[in-house]
Amino acid sequence: MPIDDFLRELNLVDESVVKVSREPESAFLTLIVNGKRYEEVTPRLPFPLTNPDFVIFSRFLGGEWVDLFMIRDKKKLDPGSLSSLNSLLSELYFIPVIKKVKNLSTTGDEFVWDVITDRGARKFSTRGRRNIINDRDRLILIDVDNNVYVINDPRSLDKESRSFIERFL
Amino acid sequence: MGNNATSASVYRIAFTPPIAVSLSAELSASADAEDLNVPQEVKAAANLGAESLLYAAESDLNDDGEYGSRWLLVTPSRIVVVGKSVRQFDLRELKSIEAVDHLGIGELVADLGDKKVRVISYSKSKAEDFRKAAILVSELMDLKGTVLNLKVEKPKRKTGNTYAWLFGFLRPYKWKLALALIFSVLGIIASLLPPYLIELMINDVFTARKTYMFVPLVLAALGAYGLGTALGVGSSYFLNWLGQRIIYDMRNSVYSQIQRLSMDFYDRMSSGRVLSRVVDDVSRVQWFLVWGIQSLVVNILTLVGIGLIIFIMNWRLALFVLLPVPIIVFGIPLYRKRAHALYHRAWRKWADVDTLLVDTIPGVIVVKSFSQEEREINRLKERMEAVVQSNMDTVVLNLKFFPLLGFATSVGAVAIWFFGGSQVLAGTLSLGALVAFTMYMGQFYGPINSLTNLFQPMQQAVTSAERVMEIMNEEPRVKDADDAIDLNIKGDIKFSGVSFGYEPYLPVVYNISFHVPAGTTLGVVGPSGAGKTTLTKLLMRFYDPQSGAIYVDGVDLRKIKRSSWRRQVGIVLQDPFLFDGSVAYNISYGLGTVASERIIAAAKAAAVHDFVMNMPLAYDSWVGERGSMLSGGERQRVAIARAIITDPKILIMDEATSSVDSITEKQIQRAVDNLVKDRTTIIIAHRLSTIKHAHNIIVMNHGTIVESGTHEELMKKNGLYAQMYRVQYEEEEKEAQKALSVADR
Repeated sequence: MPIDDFLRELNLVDESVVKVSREPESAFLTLIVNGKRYEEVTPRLPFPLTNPDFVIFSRFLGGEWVDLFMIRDKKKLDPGSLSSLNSLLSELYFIPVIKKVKNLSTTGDEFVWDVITDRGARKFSTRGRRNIINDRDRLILIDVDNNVYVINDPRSLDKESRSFIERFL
Repeated sequence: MGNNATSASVYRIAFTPPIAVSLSAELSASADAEDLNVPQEVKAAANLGAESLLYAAESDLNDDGEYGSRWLLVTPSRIVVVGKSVRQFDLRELKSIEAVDHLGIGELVADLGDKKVRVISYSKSKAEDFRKAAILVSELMDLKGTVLNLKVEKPKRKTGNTYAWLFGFLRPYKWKLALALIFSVLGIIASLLPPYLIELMINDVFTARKTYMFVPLVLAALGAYGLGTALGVGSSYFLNWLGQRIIYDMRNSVYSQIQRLSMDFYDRMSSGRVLSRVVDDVSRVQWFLVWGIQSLVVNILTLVGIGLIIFIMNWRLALFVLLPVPIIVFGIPLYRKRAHALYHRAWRKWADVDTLLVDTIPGVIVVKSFSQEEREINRLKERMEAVVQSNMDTVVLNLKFFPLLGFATSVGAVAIWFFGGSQVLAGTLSLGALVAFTMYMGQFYGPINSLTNLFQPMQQAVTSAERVMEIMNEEPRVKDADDAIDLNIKGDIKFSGVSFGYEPYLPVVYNISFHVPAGTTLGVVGPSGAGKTTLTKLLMRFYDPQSGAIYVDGVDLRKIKRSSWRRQVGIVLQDPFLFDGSVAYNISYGLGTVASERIIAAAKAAAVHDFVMNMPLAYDSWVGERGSMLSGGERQRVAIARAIITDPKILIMDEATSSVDSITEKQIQRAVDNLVKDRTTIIIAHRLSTIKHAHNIIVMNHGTIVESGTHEELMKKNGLYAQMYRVQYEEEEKEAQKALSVADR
């Protein structure tokens, strides 16, 4: 079967036909696609780091995930839908963006980071170079407890932060 | 041994027209070439007369089996062997003729009906010539059987010059290099000034009391030193810059060469050795290109400059300066010769250590499982010991040569003090001139010492350059023909009398013929070592068949550009190699930017999407070195996604031999079922269930096809396939029953 058939089965839809809403405190979204309503929908990001705007809307049914629809760019949703979607996503995907590196030291194989993120100040350790991933213009850090942090364009950070990063990495 | 042909490795195969046709063309073409250089007396002994000579081959063994010469001549009606005696065989009396291989020797064995006799024997170096003879004779006799002809192609090497190659890297930067050298030369001139200033200081200021010159001379000295320093910094900067550029260019050039080489190169040279050449040897060569050449030029120029000055100042004294020169001139070549051999050996020993580490560290699990840690430690110790020993040999050689050289230069210096001092005492030489002279002399020995010290690392660098050159001169055996075309394939594959062996004379597959119509599935099964994986390598054109041909949509695969071909073929290797990157990176490997949805579609087709979505970062999750963070079945499915993301017309799948649990097997099966529809697919199957629905199945054993047909047909035949199927089926039955009984308990 050609890949194109699988592409069709993905149900990749235009953002304009998708309406997203969320009841306060709800763990799910309600989706209206082409006028049809879908309850208890979970948004999932297949590329949380490299393409965070690509969203799969899935439902957990009978012990497995069923992908209902996909959209390429959540930012093209209407503002109300986008804010409902983002409000749930921010609870499901917690990837703080590091704004400043206050200190970076090494103890053996571990890097100890003291940083300020968009979600507040944090101290954490990463182990080995494997958990500091250089993805194009970004640094992705995975700490010893599997938390994920991101530095968007390290060169745009302040001088002190840059010098810490350059000295150690 | 002549009559014992059956026990030796005789490759008897059915006669296939393509081989014979091409061979007769080859043979008749060579026969035209002035009777194949057969000496007149041989022709006379064979009593050829008007008979035309079709083929001739010279053996390197004589009648007594010692090195010597014997000739085999083939005419349309007979074979003549000319040695000490002359023997002949009438072709009409021959039943068959075979080229038989033994260890270090081969022979032509003729079947005369009532007995088999040895026609001629030869060492392996001549085997190819006699194989051709056997084929030709078989053709002449119009026999049904013939021996297999494997074209022996020795690895080709260009004969590039190491120095030409090295200087080629400097060429793009010749202006920068010239600038650096100009800085260096000016620096030398600046450094030659101070001794002259000292002479003026002593003679004119201190002795003749011309005090007005005192301050200008001091300032001039300051200026000379200052200028020398500035120029030194300038030339160092440029040379370092050049060094970085050159190492960059060289690594790229070596790396693209090793990527360009065909698979047989990697079969011959282990990856540890390749690594050592790309990393260590290239660094040493870089040193030579940047610092070696600079030191060489600067030191030689300094030497010439000072030489001129001191000879002009006082040629008699200058002669003493030359005292150690003979030692340098005669000693260094001697040293070089010895050092060359020793350094080559030292690198080899070090590469042995490298190879061991590259081998055992990834294989640590095997080492531990067999509790071979001690043995591996000892193995490394032995190899390290050899490194120490060969390094010490070079140290000892250096200690024999360099101190002697140092002492000789000191003797020259003492001689100047003595004879120059005498001239000063006698009033024939000014004190200032002697001081300046000794200062120049000090500067003269400096470059000599540098030059001699240079030879040692330079020797290493040249050795390294030669080692790198060995790779650079290697010619890929599989190449695009000049008239190779881009072909938009439909997917019809035909193997026609394909034979191939990794080692000449040891065919892994022979005379393989089958046809896979576009859009159908072919299953290939057989015991391990039957040559199944080799078929995929031939189809991917990692190797070319030594005889026969592979046709794609009726076009010989050798006439299709490899890049065009491989782009349209998806392959899943037996041990899928994933790179240290994200899942998405691995699925879209080699494609640049790919739409996200395409990656997901490929993963869904490969039945790996659900698994990936459960990883912490989904498609952005890192798979680890060689995909170590995934299980075998997961790696396999990611590899399937990678193979099919481009929607190839042809898919080749070499199923992993390792057993996987039945859930994984079902997932893989689902992936395969998704893909085979309307796509030419070749599946090398270990689990026969995978290919049950294939349009055609070929069963291989010992390099040949022994059965073919659909699953039902093969089961009816009750041959090897049916046997293999029953074994697997029974095993699965047993396992299922075992599982049931466990569940009952």
